[in-house]
Amino acid sequence: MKDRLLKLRLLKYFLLNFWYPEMEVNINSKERMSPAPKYITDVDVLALFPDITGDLRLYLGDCKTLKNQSPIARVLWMKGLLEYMKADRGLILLSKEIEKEHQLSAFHLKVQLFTDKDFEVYSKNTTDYLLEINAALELEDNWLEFATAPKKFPPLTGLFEYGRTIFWNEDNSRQQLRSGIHQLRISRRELNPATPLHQALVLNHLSLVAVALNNIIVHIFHKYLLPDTKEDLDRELKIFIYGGIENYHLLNELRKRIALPSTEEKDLELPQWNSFLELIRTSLEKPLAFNLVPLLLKEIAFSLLPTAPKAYNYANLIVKKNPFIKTYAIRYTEYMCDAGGLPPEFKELFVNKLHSIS
Amino acid sequence: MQPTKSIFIMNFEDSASKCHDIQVSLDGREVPDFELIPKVGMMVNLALHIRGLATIDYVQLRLVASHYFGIPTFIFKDIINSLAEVEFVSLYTHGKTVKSVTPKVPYFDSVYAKIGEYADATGFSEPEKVALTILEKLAQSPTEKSNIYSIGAEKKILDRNVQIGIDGGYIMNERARGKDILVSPLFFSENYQLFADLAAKSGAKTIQRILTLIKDSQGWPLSLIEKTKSINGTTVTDDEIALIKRLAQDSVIKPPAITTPHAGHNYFLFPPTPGNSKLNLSNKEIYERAMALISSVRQGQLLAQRYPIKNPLWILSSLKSTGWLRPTTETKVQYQQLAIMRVGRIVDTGNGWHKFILIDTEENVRALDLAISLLSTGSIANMEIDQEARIALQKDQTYIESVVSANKLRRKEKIELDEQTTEEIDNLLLKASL
Repeated sequence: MKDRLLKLRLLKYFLLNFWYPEMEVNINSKERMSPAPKYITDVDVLALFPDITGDLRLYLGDCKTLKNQSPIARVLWMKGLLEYMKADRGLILLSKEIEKEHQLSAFHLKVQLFTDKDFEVYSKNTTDYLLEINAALELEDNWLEFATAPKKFPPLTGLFEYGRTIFWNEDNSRQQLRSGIHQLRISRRELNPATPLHQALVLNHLSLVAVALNNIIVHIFHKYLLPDTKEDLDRELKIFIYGGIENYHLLNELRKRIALPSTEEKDLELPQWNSFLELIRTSLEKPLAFNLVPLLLKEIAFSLLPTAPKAYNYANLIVKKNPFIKTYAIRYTEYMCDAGGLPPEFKELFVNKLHSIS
Repeated sequence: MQPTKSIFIMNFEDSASKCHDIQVSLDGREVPDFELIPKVGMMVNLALHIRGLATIDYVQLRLVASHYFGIPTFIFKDIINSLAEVEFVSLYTHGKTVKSVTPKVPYFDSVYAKIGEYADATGFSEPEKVALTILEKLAQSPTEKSNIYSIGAEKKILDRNVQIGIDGGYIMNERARGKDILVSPLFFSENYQLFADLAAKSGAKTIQRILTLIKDSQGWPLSLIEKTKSINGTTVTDDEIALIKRLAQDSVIKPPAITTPHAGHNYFLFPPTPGNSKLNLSNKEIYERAMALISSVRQGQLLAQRYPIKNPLWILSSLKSTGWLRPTTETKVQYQQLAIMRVGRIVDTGNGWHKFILIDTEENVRALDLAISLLSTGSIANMEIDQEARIALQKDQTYIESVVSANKLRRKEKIELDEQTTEEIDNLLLKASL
């Protein structure tokens, strides 16, 4: 890992704030001529933090020794990336001195520009460093082990790439949700619940789709609060998830024309639709509790990796924040395992893991 | 090069049966590697269908054989002559022209064994022996692809053979838990993905053991297996019970179930539904009725509230000879499913007692016969016959001519997609960029 110490410090900072972290994310070109997607740049570390509505927002982090570029040039690159990714804020950590004017200019562009010394002060004063966390997510070994998945299991490259690239390049939450379920379903026959790295890959994938679902739950809650009937929620969700009523009707019509006559009576919907409706309705009771479900699942995913076993406490700290987090995580995991058509041992394992956290 | 001869130890009956399976599945498709397999398969198929029929006009038989069994017209004569050689038909000829065919297919000797003997005398080629051995293995259980190599034949021949099976529709290569699993839809026509998953998880031997136990005790209730940790006296492990539970609960096509106030909702387990070569589509409903009959008597035998049935075979035999069953207080819930399927009627005899009366149709009597056969021998018999083809053979020539021409028109209709393709379409729509 290049600039690893800076990245790990930033990662720890995100974890202390209970923000959902990701490392080494690839950014694709939004328009392309070539048949395969092209990476145009990458982000070293990023986090998702909840805004006042509960929506999880992007916070981009860049860690560089930066020998041949001025700090402000890097800030301008970051500003462009914030626009491109619809991200709120960015942070650049440099292991060299920075001219004050560069730092002040960065502030106007919603980018925080810090030396590692500055960051030490900033991070200590903006988070609780007295909190002792032992997180699977803070260990470099776990991230490195996780990244071996495509090499060890080439048929699972798609699932891995989804987490590193596709998810972050989708335009909106509804597309992230649909493509996340799609990816799980096309990878399911390659997944062996007896392999720890497969377990981690699946649960990490579930944690990402939970980010999308969190934002959908928040959206629905703010628009309709608590829907009166199942039919109301059913209609609103179908229209929202498939990108508007026109798109929904078009896809539904297309499907009915090409699918089996027996499926003609059934409208287009996500797999296990009734369970999905129940999950959303339940989550609307305490929508903000869903915020931490993705982080909880990602932490458990990394604790499943076959690196040297350690005693972690981070998952326990997360669930202590709100009793609904664990409940929603269990309900959501059950839904996703069924919707993805995964071998049943995955659900059993994940749900047992979640139950065992106190 | 490794020897392939030593691997071929199938008996006459099994080899002819597997030829028939392959031939039905190939459905007229040409495989350059096979010479005797399609011929033997065609002989079996034709013999089974003409058993017991009156003398048939040669041209009519040729048309039916082409239309229903995919026997090409140019080799029909060879097939008929070979059947004459094994004395399954006698031919009435004018010079070199065959005018009519009189079936002499025996009822009490195995059609498969006799034709298998003929095939053995003619001699299968090495690739054909490999094909039959692979299919024999896959008839027991789906298996990991790598296990096929333990057959002992040359890898090139094995790979080619698996590919022929996939192209011919009698082998499927399913991915499950990151492994290549071979499944034959001829023996696992429904829920094949579930079977592939179970084979990937537990291995072919475990599946084979469980299926043998289920086959020997058809219609055994799942709840009783869980409670006693055994199937009809044979102990099963917790892992095997978990596997059996998945067979009942995760199947796309569920096994029959009966709900009663005293025993709750119970699934009755049956071996996998065979494919078209063993269970012709026209007989599928009869098979379903037979399973429902067995489930009802198993309910009475093993999950009765008060007076259990001692021997389910006696009950079915009694139903066959008298057409009804003695009234009991449990008849209504026990036989309700059979009433829904129009196998019988439930008559109220007063004070909560009900009597079950068989509806005397040809289908119901055949279902009853099949249920008795399944309970006594564990195997499915005489269900490979296409009833429509039998009708066509017994009507005059204009009937089959009209069927053939109607079929030509039907081919232009919309192609129906199977369940798996529909699922794939739904999956693709998830990815729409909206």
